[in-house]
Amino acid sequence: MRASCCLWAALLSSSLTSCGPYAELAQKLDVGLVIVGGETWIAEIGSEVRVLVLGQPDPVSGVSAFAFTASSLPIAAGVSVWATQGTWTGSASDPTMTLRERYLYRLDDERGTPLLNRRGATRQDVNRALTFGQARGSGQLVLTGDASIAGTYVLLPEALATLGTSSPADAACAFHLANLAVLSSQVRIIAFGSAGMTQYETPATFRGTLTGDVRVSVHGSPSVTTDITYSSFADFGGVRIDGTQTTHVNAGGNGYMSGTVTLALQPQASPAPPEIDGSISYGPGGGGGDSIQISSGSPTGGNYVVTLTGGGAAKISPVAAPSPTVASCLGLPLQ
Amino acid sequence: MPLGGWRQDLALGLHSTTFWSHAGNQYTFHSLSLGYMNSWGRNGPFLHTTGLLPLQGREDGRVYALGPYYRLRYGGDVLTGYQWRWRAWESVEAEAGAGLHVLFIVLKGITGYRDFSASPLGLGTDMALRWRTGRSLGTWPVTVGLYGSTALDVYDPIHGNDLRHGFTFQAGAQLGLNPRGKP
Repeated sequence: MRASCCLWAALLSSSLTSCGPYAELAQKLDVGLVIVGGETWIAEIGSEVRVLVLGQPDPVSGVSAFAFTASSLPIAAGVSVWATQGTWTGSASDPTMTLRERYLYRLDDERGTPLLNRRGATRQDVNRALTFGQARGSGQLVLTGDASIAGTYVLLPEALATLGTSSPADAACAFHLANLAVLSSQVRIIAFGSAGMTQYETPATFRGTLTGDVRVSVHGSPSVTTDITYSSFADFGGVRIDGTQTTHVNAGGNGYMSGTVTLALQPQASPAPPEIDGSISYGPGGGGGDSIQISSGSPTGGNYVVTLTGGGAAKISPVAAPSPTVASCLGLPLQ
Repeated sequence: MPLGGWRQDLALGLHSTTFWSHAGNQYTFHSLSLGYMNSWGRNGPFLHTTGLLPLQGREDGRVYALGPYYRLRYGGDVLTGYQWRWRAWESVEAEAGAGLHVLFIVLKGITGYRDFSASPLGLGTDMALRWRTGRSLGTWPVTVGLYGSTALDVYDPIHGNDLRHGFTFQAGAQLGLNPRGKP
């Protein structure tokens, strides 16, 4: 039924309309903030990995931007992401820090929702101020306050220095960190994960929070191919991805992934450790092999094939729990 | 002009639709409409089809001229069902009908802006008045008239039935070329 409805829509209007719940009127696709410099903090609370980027004051306006992303990772592929961006006040020595949220992004777990009913990634304009108690020391930032953001954070680029490059576990860790960047990008791609992705028959580009961009392009009907191309894309300090991830699905949202995304992890420590380079293969061009399998729009099988230049390699199932966890990889405090 | 036979008119008017999503958002669109209207017999079927050029949109109080945001904007409105026709005055006939209503609005965003579409389905009613002008084009008498329609929309399967409910209104003037028929 779901497939026939979408097929009907496809036949009725081909590239003329898009399925799924009503869109926001006159909505600009990319309004994401770009942060120059600043600090990237990471924490894991339960199975949710939180990344907080605190920008330096803008030399002109004096305003400091922030970006926060929380990825729920009960499985390696991730099931939901939410993010918020805005401005922050409070220096490192202040006892409090205030985040003024301007945009709220959500990509909920809609695996149980029929494809046509999924909202996918959404953005909402908000005006909310959250004040946190903060304490810094020993490379940690402890935020107390709103439970959705609070936690004990560690500087991500420094934590990257604990990673190796030669073992399967090292490869798995590199994947999980690069995948955080992928998830962080997806939550800002309006309609990502829904039938509304047909929007991108007219390709669109979204800027990375720190550097680069991601371009989204959809073609074909009723079977659809989606290319998501990262170019020097970095939402977090120390994690950069490049390359194209392609998803091929039919009208029912069933299909496979292909393409390769390269990753570069840049630890900061003294002495400066070498960059960790590698790649994530989502599958060969025609599917088959370890291609990530997609059912009803969600990954259900196959493997991410991760290879590091230091020799580490791993196959990671999208539906298995992350092993090791991000907290284990980076030595984050258990929370 | 006899009441029997078929009628065909070109119509030019204004079209407004407002509807609510299940998330509680209200959308309103005002469009120019150009239509073709057809009906058969004193009592019989009718089909009114209208092409739309959406001009203004509104979401939860925010009003947008659509031109700056959408590179392509169009829509269609179809109302089909059963109609009754009667003589209202000496040279004026009236027609009223009810039936199924299908509406679609498609807005393709300019680069960097999101597309919008809606395709509500429901039930509608239609009313028209025709004046015989006394002029003919060939052997076909020319009529002028006014029309109006309303609809209640309740279902939008293409959009995951995100439609809670909606209303559509349409009114304008029409010009008809109607064959001579039996009374």
